[in-house]
Amino acid sequence: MLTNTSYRPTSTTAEGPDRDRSGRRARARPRLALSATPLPGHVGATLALTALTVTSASGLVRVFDGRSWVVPVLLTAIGVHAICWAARRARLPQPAALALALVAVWALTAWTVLATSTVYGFPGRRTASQLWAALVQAHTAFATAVSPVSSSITGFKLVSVLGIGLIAILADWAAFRWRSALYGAAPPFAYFVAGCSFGQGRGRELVVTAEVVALLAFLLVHRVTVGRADQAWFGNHRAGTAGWAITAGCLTAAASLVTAVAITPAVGTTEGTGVLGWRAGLGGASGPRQVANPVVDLHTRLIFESTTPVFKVRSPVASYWRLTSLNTFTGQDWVSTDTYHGFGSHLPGVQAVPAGTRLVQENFHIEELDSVWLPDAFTPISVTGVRGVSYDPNSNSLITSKATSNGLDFTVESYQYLSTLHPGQLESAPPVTITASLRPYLQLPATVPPDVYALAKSITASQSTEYGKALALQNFFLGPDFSYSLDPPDDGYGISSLTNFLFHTREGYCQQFAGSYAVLARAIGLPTRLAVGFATGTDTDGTYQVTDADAHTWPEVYFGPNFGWLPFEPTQSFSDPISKGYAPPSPEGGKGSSTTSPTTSPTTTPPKTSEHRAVVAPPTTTGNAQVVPSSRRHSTAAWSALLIVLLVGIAWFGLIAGGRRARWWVRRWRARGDAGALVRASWDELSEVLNWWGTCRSQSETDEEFAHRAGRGIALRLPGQSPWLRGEVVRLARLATEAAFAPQIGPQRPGEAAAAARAIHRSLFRSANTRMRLRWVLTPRPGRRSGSGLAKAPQASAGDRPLIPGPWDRTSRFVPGRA
Amino acid sequence: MARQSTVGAAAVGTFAETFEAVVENVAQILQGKEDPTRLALVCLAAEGHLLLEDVPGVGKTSLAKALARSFDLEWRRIQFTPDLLPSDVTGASVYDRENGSFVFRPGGVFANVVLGDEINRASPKTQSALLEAMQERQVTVDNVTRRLPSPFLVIATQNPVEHEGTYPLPESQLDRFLLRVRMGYPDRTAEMAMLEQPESRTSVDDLPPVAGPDAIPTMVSLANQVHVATALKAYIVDLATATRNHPALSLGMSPRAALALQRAARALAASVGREYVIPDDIKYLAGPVLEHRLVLSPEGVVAGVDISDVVTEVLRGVPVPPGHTGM
Repeated sequence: MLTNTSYRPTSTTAEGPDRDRSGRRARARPRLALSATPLPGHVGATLALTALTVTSASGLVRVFDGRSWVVPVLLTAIGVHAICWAARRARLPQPAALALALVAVWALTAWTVLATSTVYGFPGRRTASQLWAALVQAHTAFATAVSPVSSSITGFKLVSVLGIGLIAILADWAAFRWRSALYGAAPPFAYFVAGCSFGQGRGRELVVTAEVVALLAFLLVHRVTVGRADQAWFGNHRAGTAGWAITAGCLTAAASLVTAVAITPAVGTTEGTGVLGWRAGLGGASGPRQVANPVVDLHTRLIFESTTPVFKVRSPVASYWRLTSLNTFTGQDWVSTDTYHGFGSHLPGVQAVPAGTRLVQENFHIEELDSVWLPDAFTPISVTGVRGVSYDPNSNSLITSKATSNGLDFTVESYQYLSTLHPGQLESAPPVTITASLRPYLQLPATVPPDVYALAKSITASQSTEYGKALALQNFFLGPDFSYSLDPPDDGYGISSLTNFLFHTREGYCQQFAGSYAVLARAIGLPTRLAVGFATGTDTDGTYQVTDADAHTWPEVYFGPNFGWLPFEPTQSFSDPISKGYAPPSPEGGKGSSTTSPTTSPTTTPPKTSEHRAVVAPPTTTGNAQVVPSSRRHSTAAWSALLIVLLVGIAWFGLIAGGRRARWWVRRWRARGDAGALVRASWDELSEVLNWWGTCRSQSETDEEFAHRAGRGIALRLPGQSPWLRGEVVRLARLATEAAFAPQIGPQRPGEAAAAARAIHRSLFRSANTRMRLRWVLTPRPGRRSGSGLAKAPQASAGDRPLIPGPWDRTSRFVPGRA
Repeated sequence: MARQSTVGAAAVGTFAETFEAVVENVAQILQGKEDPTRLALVCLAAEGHLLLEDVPGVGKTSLAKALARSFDLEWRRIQFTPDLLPSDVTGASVYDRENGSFVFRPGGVFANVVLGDEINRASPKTQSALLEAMQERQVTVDNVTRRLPSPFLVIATQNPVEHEGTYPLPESQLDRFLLRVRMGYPDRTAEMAMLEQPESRTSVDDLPPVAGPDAIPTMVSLANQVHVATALKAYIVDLATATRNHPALSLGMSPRAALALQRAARALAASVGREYVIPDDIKYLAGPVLEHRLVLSPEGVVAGVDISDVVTEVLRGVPVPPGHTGM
């Protein structure tokens, strides 16, 4: 039987068996040549890849303080690339090349970072032990480090150098042995992203621009020197000779979008908010919404920015303006786990307004809060004048579904005790029953030392009521033993900072006072949480201007369903207009039962120095190196991102549309004086236009066949004007055929052809819809690609009504030579 | 680049006019068969012979007769049968008792247009007698070579359906036919028009000539001067190479076939009044010129490949030259 060698007529010639020696068989199907013999050299592409790796490494400038990392990292990057290049040139087998490259990474790391441990330059056991020690150091320092970290920390430097070396190997392998530009560019880019996520603000624009330029340059050089036209770019997609441009553009755009929209906001420690400012997910105000540690946002803004206006409040009474509260103490910091839900205008889960409170309306105008939270006066019961706001009843906080709450105007109605709440009322309050929902507010990590419990007990020993205990704690912090300082010896919320503050330094600002208060209160069984927000601000006729310097944090203690959460103010030199009725700021004031009548005159803010450093944000729990916020405005970054996108768009447009015009012009200029070539140029231009309209030229098609097919395609889309258009297209095709095969053509032909091509092009462009026009101006090859182009063109087959009229068809009789 | 002598547009125009006049003349007899008529004329202008392959009753004889009448040529028909002898085709010397000598009696081939009906029914010996005459345009009997009249066109017919008692033509002899044309049934309107016509319509014998016999040499020499660009010659060679390498074929285009393709393309170009050949001409003629010359490989036969599909595939696989200008 011959079935195993049987010839199948349906298979096309171009894909036929190997007997075809016509040479077109060389167009093999695209593949990722994992096992391809590595091509030696590629100096240009290797240089471009080295530049990309070096640029990606330069992202470390935002991570390290100092310059001692520069030489090791750059030397390793360049050295490893050089070794890989040499291995390719020498046609070393892959295992040998890999081993050589790894040895190079090890040696370069040892020489540049652990030079003193080597024996005459040879890394030995001592190097290994030092390496291990450095890695352990890096691991321990990582949890608490804040960028920019000192580059003298060997561990971090070592990780950077080792990382760049391995990245260089991976990139070289993918780019030149697998021959994929994309895979080659990915490792350095990943390194860059990692650097970005740890780095801080300075030099951001420069580094990103350099990275993008290096990335594009590498893709271009790789495509030109290594890549082949029919090679797989990404998966099985087949890229044409100019297709790489579209693919690269799209992928870069997609990568930028993902970075800007998804990664940046997701990385908790970066100061960026992402182009669209999404916090988590795309959920609107109606669905549950998880938010990251709420004070991170404030944290990034507060330091050093003392006078930036944050928002304005028009309110009949002064108050602290609260953003949210934190309910969990991890031992390192305070965090909250809230779930936000949409609501109508009245906030869900708010208990009935307690007796003795007053309803107060405040109008907020947010200027540059740069966060998703909406400030309110505690306790809010309704919000009007703004859409897309979600509420978490546990922390009593409001967030907007927009990127930030900047520019929002809204009215909050809240109930406040003002000064109506008497110490007597609180003293007679029934003891709080600890329910399951309150238990989180009593939680303390097991690492809190017994001293702290003992201290809390000793402070409150003489008190029997919860109120008395809460007040005693406040008075303890307001006592003369503690002092307010913007620059405490031990900054932070952690347990060690806490014990330091309580027992040794006794010096701090709101972060230490409020945090310690909350821990002590929890230690004696008072449900307590940390509120985050702003102090009253500067009063001008009932309008409070709040600035960054007013950022503040204070504890809130739960007094049962009758009273709810009540704020206390343990921070020295601060005074909460709300709490001072029941918890006066002076220790003496608390003793007497002051029953001052409710006042509507606002209290002015406590005097503060302009450089007040009200850092209320605890460190985050992500475990990354912590970031010191930059002073840059997010909006500036968003605008510059937008501007870059716009500029890139314009440049792309110029490149495509202008490039096409230039190409056409050059072709005509070269053909000047040659009538035939000029006619062919017109036809080639029209062929591009027809290709754009969906008919791609096949190599086995004659001009006229192509014209008829294209004409039919146009007729399907534009029934109205098709006869004229089809006629013109076929006429131009015949002029082109004449130009190609006639011994000589008339001098008027180029003019005729150019006019016809222009008319057809104009008519088609006018008939095109917006999408097609965009495709024309934005893509280098706006039409479909024909693949090999040899087997796909439909041909008139015997029996069918012929698509292409025969040579003697009267309806299409046209002889250019005699027309 | 060596430029071959080219023909002027006006001369080619005359060619086309004569061509169309003949086509219209033949159309009085054969409705709806303009394209086979034109191919037959192309064959005539290219000094080739025509193999008509079709079932009986589709007008093969009428076409041959009408062509001969249109040019006022002598016409003969040889009905090939298994017992037909070569001398019946070429002629034979017969003893003349009056003169006492052998006198040559010309056979059926001594005419301008010879219709060899059902050529595959004759024995190979007889077939080769005709085919030799076709190639050499002369007949040698009893050591005397006699030239055949000029122009000389053989229109041979074959019935593709019946195979019982036939002697299929060997490849080398099929190669001598310039074109193989399938008449095909007339389309619906043409067939109805044919039935509508009264019995007393123009018969082939009454068909008036529209050109003299001397028109044919003129047409032949004009067609030979039609310009073929170098790129197109390369295209023909590419096609030939593609057929030779095609997996479904055991025999591809011969060099004679390549020549035939070029000759026919020239005649076709002249027939539409064009003084140069374009790729479309070659693609159009590839089927008629090549199909009868190509031989399927055993694999192709087993797979049931149709030879016309192979030609279509070859045409799709070979890039059309973009042509170069300024020649």
